[in-house]
Amino acid sequence: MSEDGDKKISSSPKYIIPPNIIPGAAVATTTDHFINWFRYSSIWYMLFATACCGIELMQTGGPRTDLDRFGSVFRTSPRQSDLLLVAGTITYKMADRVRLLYAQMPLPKYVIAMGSCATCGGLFTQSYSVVNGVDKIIPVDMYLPGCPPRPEALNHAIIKLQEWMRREHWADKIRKA
Amino acid sequence: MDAREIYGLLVQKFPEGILEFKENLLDPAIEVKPQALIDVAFFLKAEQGLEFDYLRCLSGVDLKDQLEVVYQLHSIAKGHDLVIKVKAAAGDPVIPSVSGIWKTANWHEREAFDLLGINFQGHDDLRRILLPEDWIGHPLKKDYVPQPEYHGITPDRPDGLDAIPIGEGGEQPRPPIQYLPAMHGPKDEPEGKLFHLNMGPHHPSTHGVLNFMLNTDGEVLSRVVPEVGYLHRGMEKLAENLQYSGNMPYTDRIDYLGSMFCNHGWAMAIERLLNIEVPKRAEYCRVIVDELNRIASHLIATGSMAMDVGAFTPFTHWLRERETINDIMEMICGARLTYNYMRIGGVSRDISPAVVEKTLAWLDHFDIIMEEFDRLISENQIFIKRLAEIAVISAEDAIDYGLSGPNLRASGVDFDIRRDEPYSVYPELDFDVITGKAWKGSLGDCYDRYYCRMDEMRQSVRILRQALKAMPEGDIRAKVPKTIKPDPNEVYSRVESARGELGYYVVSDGSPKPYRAKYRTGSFTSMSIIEHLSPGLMVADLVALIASFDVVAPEVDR
Amino acid sequence: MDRWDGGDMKELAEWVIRDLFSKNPDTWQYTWAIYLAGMALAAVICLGFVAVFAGPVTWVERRTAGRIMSRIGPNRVGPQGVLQWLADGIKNLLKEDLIPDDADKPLFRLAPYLVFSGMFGTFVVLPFGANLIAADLDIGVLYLMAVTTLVVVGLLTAGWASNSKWALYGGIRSAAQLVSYEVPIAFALLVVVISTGSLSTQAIIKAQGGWPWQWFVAKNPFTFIAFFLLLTSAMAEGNRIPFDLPEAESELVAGYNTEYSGMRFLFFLFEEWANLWIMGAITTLCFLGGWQIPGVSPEKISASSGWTFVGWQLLSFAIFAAKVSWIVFIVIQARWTLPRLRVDQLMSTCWKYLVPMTLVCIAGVLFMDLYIVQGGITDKIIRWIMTLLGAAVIVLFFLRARYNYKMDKDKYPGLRNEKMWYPPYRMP
Repeated sequence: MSEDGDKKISSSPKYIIPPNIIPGAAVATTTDHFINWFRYSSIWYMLFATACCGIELMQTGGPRTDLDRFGSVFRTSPRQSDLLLVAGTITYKMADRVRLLYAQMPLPKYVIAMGSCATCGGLFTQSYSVVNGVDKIIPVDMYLPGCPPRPEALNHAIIKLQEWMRREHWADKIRKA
Repeated sequence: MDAREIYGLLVQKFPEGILEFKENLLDPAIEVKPQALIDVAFFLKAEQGLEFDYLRCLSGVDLKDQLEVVYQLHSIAKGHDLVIKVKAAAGDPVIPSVSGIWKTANWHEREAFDLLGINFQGHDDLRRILLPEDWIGHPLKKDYVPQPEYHGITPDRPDGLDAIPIGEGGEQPRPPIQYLPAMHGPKDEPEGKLFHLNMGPHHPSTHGVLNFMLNTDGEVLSRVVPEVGYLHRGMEKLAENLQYSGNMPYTDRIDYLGSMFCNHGWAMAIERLLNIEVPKRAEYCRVIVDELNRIASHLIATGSMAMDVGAFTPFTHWLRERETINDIMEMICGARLTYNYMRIGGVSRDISPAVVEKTLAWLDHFDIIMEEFDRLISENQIFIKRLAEIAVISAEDAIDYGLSGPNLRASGVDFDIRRDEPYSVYPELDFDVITGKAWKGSLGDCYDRYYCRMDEMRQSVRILRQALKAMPEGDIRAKVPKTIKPDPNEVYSRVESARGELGYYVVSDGSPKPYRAKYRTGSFTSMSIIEHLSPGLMVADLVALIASFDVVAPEVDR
Repeated sequence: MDRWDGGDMKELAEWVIRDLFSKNPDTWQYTWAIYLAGMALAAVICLGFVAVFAGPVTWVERRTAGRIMSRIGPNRVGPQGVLQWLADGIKNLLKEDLIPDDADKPLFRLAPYLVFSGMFGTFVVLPFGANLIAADLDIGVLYLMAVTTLVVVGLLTAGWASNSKWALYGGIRSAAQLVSYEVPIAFALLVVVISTGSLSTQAIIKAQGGWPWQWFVAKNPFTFIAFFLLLTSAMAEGNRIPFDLPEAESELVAGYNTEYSGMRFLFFLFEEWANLWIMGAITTLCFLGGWQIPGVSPEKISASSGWTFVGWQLLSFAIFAAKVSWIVFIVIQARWTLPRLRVDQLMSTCWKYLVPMTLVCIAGVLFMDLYIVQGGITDKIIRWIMTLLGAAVIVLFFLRARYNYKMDKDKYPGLRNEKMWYPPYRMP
């Protein structure tokens, strides 16, 4: 991405830079530029499909909206993935497992809550056994609404995440919280 | 033989045990004393002329002062149905277990125990099945109050609506979790020479969040215990708090690969309760979307079967074809996956000529793709070797465990609800019921289950061609009152979903909300046979076996 | 100053000592330093080559897979995504260094290096061109068999040290698989060794010629069969589908590398794709004439000097690389077409079919070598028949693909005027 592109993004009110990455983003050196280019070009997501959104997640990896174009391939092991795509409802019984999976991922790691259920509980907010949003268990970087979101929406989320990563300072992200 | 004749027979045989014949119900039911249940059940199964070999559904109902268990029986040989009811006092609900007579009852009774707290005497493994073991309370009881906290997670529910009240704080000790050996992780004490392994709930080939606890001797499995409930979203409880028509979007999520069937079944159940005649065109619309959905679902089933044995390419080819179906569905109802298309008394939108044209054009294309797919994977020697002769299910076992749909038919049982208990406009359409033919191995193996689905897609194409051409003009929705308030009654309606029989047992009490809704799903019932089948298989075979059942996790857990 | 006409790095070092330093390599006290420098140079060149091969080939594989699956594949990083491998590699370098708490830490750290050195060690005897080889060992083939065993040790260590049951399964499976498949590979190589009379890889290539009928694959029916047996076994040795059981994704999550992340995981990936070259190089050097240039004998190359010499070297390398790429491409295609075998089927394939068949091939080759005079009329006839047979196999393959394509096209009127089918995929 050129300098112009960066300026365009930062000046646009649509893109809100989260406060925790501002220190890094302020000093966007050439090294960071390169590092981020490689990082956002190879977002490996974990195949974590729990419910309906999982099918749309598969369709997104399929022929029409091919996620592989962006260098995103699915990994089955959390150890090798950068992105936890929580695609579907998380129940109380599953909650501990999600925590574990998130803990097993190496830094820097990102979480997209895909679909209404993962965002807030969605249709099942009232249920006795559904976690009202995966952000009650693990930190979430991006919320993707829809029930389920279309593959195009997921594609957009990945592109949006790339734009985010472009502005980050890698050393901040790797530091343990 | 209809219910009245059977009642006569039963009264003759068990004068003490039979309580009442409820003729005014839509499905006439016979009430049996708990003490006589086992004898009656055995008689019903074994007696010549009755032969109720197939337990469709077992549902518990909380009647406030009493707990009721309803058995929906069916005889595949004779083709007749029967409903039996047993009641127990709410204070100490003890009902004898029929899991020794119909194996289907095993998991259904565990579910009733989990959600309603009914104690089935004589059940050898009465544990919680859907909820975690340290859960407090039985959610489907009418006086259930959810806990304010579970493992540090608190619910935040919006006010208003018809929110389920959350209980007050208060420290209530959670019951301890009785871990099975396999759950302990790598450091557990070995039990004999067996190796304990947890497959799931996050595993690439468990099709969602299912857990299988394996005991293995090297690669050979000696015992597999499926552990489900990781996606239990409490849909049945939610249905009790929603109006009849408002439950339609929720039914989509029971089975996300076959939302149309779930819509259809729910609409049919309520229409039977209200005694509504659906217009002809609406019925055709329903059949068209059902069959399109069946193809879409089988595409995922067959494709993921290929993927689970290691071939990725067929799956993506099917995803490509599925995109076209999604486009057509989008043209019909505006959604790709969770359609919410049907309404009580009809459908939400008409099928336009553009859809008909596009669908017919795609069907021509799909015929060729089917052949190409056969050449790509069905005839592949490695694929055949991986599936043929694996996990053979005999016809008796299939019926006993209550398998349904393609899984049942692959074992050679010629039973299809579309033909045998016709609904909608299926009687007007010409199609074959596909049964297993031992294509590459013996009858009822994984390959049969695979190829049954392939052939069913061809039949669906046939049905679609006929239905699209024969669609009459007319209304798409019947006149339905604004607030649906059926008379107190109960109904069991079923449709042939892609995963087998999808049944809705709905009890109405005259209010605008259902008193109890129980969903009988194909996957839940077929999962229970895995423990019986798995000894002697290898780890890789288990993957093929799960794939061949085409299990969808929310259908199991609901 | 003499011209360097030697075969490998050792001779190059000796030439340097003799001619540049004017010393006797046997008595000079710094000979070891020159040897060491030569070894280091060879290692650096090989490592660079492996990196440059293994990286882009992942891109090739993903694009091929995309094409087969009617997708596109990576096309964002660099022109058409050719730098995708660089992005993957550097990203993995930048990940957190993660070792599970319960893991056996020293072994966990060691395993990737074992695997990598097992793979990298083979490059010592693998030739790249007429005179481009690190060391033309007399026991080249034997060394090849020995050093690849280190990979097994590495994978087993990885599986054990992770303290994860899935990884353990992967480790045990890979141990069983690799050890078993080394037997048919050894026998298939023995067929070549018998025909050549030498274990040296360069000698094996020199025993063949540049033209297809001079290759060992066309020598007689038994070598023809042995070629396919070696290719199959090599695929198993390289953990490729249909033999990728140690890391079967749908069964074992990720197999032996389930618990590995970041840089260590990269080593496993690296090994997997570098193995493709090794697989192709062994088959090529043994059966497909190696780097032999049609019409140019190895003596002529050795006799040339200056830029001609360099040119021959480059041409021979290009020919070798082209042949290897062809094999690599076949292996990639097989991976994205075939399902995976089960573990018992894998074993029975090896012990019940491949091993007996390679044994028959050895017996057959011995028989043929005894009774058929090299260069005689019978030998020529057999070679021509086998060449035609090989050509027929290739032609049949293309005819079959064309038949499938045409069959679909003829049946479906909507496609008749379409030039391309997929991608880009078009709705009828």
